[in-house]
Amino acid sequence: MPEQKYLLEMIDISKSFPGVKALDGVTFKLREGQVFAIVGENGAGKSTLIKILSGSYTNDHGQIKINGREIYIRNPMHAMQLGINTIYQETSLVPEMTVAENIFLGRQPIKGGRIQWQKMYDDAARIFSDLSMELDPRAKTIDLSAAQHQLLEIAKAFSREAKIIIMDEPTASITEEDTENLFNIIKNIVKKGTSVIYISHRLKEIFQIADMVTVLRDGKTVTTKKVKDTSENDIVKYMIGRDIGDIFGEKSYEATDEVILQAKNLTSMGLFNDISFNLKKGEILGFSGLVGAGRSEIVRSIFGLERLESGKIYIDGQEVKIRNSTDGINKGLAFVSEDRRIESIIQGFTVRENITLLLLRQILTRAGLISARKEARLARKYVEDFSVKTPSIEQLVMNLSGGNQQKVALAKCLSTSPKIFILDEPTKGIDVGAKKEIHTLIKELARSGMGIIIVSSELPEIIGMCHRVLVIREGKLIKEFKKSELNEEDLMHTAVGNV
Amino acid sequence: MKKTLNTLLDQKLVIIILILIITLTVQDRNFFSLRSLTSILDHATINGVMAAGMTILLISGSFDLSVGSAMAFTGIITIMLQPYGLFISILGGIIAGTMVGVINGLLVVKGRINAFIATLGTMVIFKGLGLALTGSSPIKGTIEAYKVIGQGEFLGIHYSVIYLIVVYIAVWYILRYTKFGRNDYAIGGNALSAKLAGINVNLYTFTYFVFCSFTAAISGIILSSRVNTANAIFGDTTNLTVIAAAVLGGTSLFGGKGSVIGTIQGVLILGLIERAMVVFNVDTNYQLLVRGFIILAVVVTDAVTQRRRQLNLERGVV
Amino acid sequence: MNETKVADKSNIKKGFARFFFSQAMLLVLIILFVAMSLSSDLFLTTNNIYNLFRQVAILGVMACGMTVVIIGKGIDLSAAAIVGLAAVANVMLQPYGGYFLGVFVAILVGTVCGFINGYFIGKVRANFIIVTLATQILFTATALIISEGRNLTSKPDRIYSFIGNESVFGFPVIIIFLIVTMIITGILLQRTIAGRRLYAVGLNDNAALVSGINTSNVIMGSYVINGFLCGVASIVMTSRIPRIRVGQTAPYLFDVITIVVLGGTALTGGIGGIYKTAIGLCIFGIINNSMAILAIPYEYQQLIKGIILILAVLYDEFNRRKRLLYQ
Repeated sequence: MPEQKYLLEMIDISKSFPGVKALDGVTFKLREGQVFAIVGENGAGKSTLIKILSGSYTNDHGQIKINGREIYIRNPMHAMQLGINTIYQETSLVPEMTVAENIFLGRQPIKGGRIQWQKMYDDAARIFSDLSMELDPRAKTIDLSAAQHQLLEIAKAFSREAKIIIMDEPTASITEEDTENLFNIIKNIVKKGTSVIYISHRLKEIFQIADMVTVLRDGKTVTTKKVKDTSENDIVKYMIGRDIGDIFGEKSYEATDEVILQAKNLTSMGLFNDISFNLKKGEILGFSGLVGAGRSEIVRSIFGLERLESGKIYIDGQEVKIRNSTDGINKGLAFVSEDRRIESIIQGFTVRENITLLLLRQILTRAGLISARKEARLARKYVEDFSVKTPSIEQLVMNLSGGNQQKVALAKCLSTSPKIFILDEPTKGIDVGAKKEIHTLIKELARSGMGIIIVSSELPEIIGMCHRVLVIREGKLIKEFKKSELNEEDLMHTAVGNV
Repeated sequence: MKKTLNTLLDQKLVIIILILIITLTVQDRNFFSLRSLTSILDHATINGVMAAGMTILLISGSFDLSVGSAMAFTGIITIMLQPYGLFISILGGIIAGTMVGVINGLLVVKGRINAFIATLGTMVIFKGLGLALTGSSPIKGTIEAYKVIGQGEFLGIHYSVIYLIVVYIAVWYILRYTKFGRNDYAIGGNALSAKLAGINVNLYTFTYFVFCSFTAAISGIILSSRVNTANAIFGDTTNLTVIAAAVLGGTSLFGGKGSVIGTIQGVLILGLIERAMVVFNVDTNYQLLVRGFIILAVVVTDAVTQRRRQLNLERGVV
Repeated sequence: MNETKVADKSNIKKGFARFFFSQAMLLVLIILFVAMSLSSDLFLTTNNIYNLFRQVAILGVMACGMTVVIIGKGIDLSAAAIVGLAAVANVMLQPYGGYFLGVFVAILVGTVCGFINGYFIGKVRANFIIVTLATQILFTATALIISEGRNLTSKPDRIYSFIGNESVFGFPVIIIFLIVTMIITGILLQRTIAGRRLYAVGLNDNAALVSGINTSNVIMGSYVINGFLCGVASIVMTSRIPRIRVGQTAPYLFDVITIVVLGGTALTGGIGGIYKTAIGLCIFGIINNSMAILAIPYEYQQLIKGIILILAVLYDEFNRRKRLLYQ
């Protein structure tokens, strides 16, 4: 049988960022009318691949072909012109406009110099019925649910005669019923010849909707299979399949039995529900789970950055009310954000200014002013303690490498000698050397009696560092793993819902 | 069409307008007459025409503080060019006023300067230019026919009212039935989305600045013709009134939302309040105070409502 | 070994570039100063230089407050109105409690006005441009109301004339006053906890929040300080100009903004300080003074000032991009 032509070919694609090789020779071939799933852990390279396709990044190496013709995708608009539409997680719709107008944005039907509203509504209605979507063309976009926004985006892409629609975690914030609906619509579009690239962690869904699946790991393609030729178990194995070994050294010490933090029934509507757990002194507690499961939201609300609707927090046995970050810090908590470049350090400040930001009261002269001498001494001490590589404490933090910026962030947070330290993705995007240093630091802190919570999507990190692990899925605490029970497969299975 | 009528009747603003009219009529029986009602519109024309242009600019998410100066500048150039003939003087004036918008547009779009600072600068520059050209004193018009524009009447109704209605219908049409108008909402509502849809955000933003100053120029012609004088200090207080009218009428300072139907209501309300204060013999200084309060209240309400909407959007609450 | 050598060279180049850009305005100042000294005999006399600074003293004090607000990523368009209101309140209450009451009232009024601004901008989070435009109208209106539109004259007083007209060791008191105010504000910005937090909020209010800083309070505080300094400026004004007419302070606003922007304090917040504003003040003072010496008509002066502001802002924008580039 003559080989059917591929709609899209990505051949030997590589892309590097400073310190990290995100994609290493990935090859991906898509036919017309296919639903192709891409799976992999966080950091495996999925989003980089998608960003290259959608025009936000350019590949360093490799070819991209559409219908056999090589192309260079210059920018997102160009990608759209080529027929590649991406449905982003943040909506790209204009909130105050009607549904129909969002679909025809920029290309409203005009006759005699005048926009034909009725025709727009009719055309939109026709598209919706073609796709079997129940949407009202005259509704205001802002009044729609998240699921309906997605459908709208799909309709928009379809009406632009997209050949390829990329969906990135489309079911992340919609109900099961809506998911059913979404799948029916995808099947519809696909019948009409459009192809869908579907990225999701939810293996169950992939087995419902996809024809083909590719597993990425560490920037490389592990395998590409027909969905009917494989199973969820196999996929998980492919996603992880590495020799874990003991990269993290021994955890020869045990956590104490003293409970330092207790969380009871923490709830925030739409984000997480009824979360209860303990944290002991000297313990490293891990929060594992998929991106979007709600882990960051939980820890941020403990620190005071997000509002808790209900639930109680106890520190050292006493109930505390933490309404904002100032309370959090005052009660002995410290927090390093996932987006450390934007949230945990101030790029425009020097190393010195960042480190001393929480300690200003300690470096005052008798007159109550900041003492330059004390400040410099303090800053230098921390730079040394944390091995921050910087030419001087006056260096602007934005000039440091990612790993060193993280160290500054850590130094700053620890300057208040907190009892409880929360780190959200502490080594994301950091080179191996700095990673090791940070891990050693965290272990030392635990050894000294601090209670530590780590949110991480890197399974080896979680397994290598934590005494206990809580797996969060869709805002609920599913299971608690003890150290002895920890292995990547079980964690992943629990996270995706194969239990 | 039906939708517009619906929104018109839905508005709380209409109720406010009715209350104001009733209050005024109670004070003075003669108020509820065609003559006096159209005189409100008449006075409101100057601000009203500018508010229409400002609405378009606000919807796109931008801002213009220089409209007052542009208005005054137009009047000055027009009267200064009168020796060359009526037609040339009016044309020259309009071009001069619109120039302000061109400069604003360039500064904001090309120079990437914050709209506020850029228009603050042009406001001062053109005011200064105006003062320089007039030697800091008012200059009188020299063509009798010119006065007709602002002072002319038809069956007891001033031409101004007609200009107002025409401008508003035109802008309404633009915002509803042209790409120029719809893209305005897109750019103000979600600039990224607009860009992805192929809309040239920079070009359109530039034209909105130009359009805003254009309406200011028209106002300038009407004003200078009405009093047959040009003065550089005209328009000192107009900026805020115009913006307040638009925001009162439902146009958000954050962009993406608004309509001229609302704006004209805002203009009417402010005009009626002004008249009410005169009728009730409120001291001019207190009038100023009231104006300040209204603007503050309007702006704070806009901020609070928009933020609540924003928060709900982020949380996925519908 | 070779690597470090290359790194050094490019670092030196970067260092020079950074230095050059950060001190560009100082260079402009020096050039202006030299140019004026050479082109006019009237310029480089002690008397003229003193006059130069006397004329901008009021603006200088206001500029200190404006610098604080701008560093916090805001702006206060009601500043001039606050000065006017404070001055009116001051003079009106003089008959009742003497000059000290007047001074106290002026500062109190300024601070309260600052608090009003700070509340709506810091706590309610309304748009700082419109709020301060609205409060500008409110404060002006209040001044008109309490003064009933009349012109007021401050009673002559030893203290005021001391500040306004006299000199200590040949150095005008008013200039000493200005310098002291600048030093104190500078210390506040650079050497206090509050000042450090203000810079943090101006640079990145998200990160400041995560660091436990109460951003609402910091922003509110910046407007209160500005209000306070406007009150102080009104005292300087009363000592120099005994006759007060509501509205005479209006042109100050634009000049003050020009001064701060000229000096190099960024409108985007977090960058700048009193040192920079001082340079801006000197530059502005020289330009002001020169235009007077060259007898340029008032209207053209306004025009030129407007152009200068636009150029200063363009330069500020240029700097912003350069800052991002020279990493």
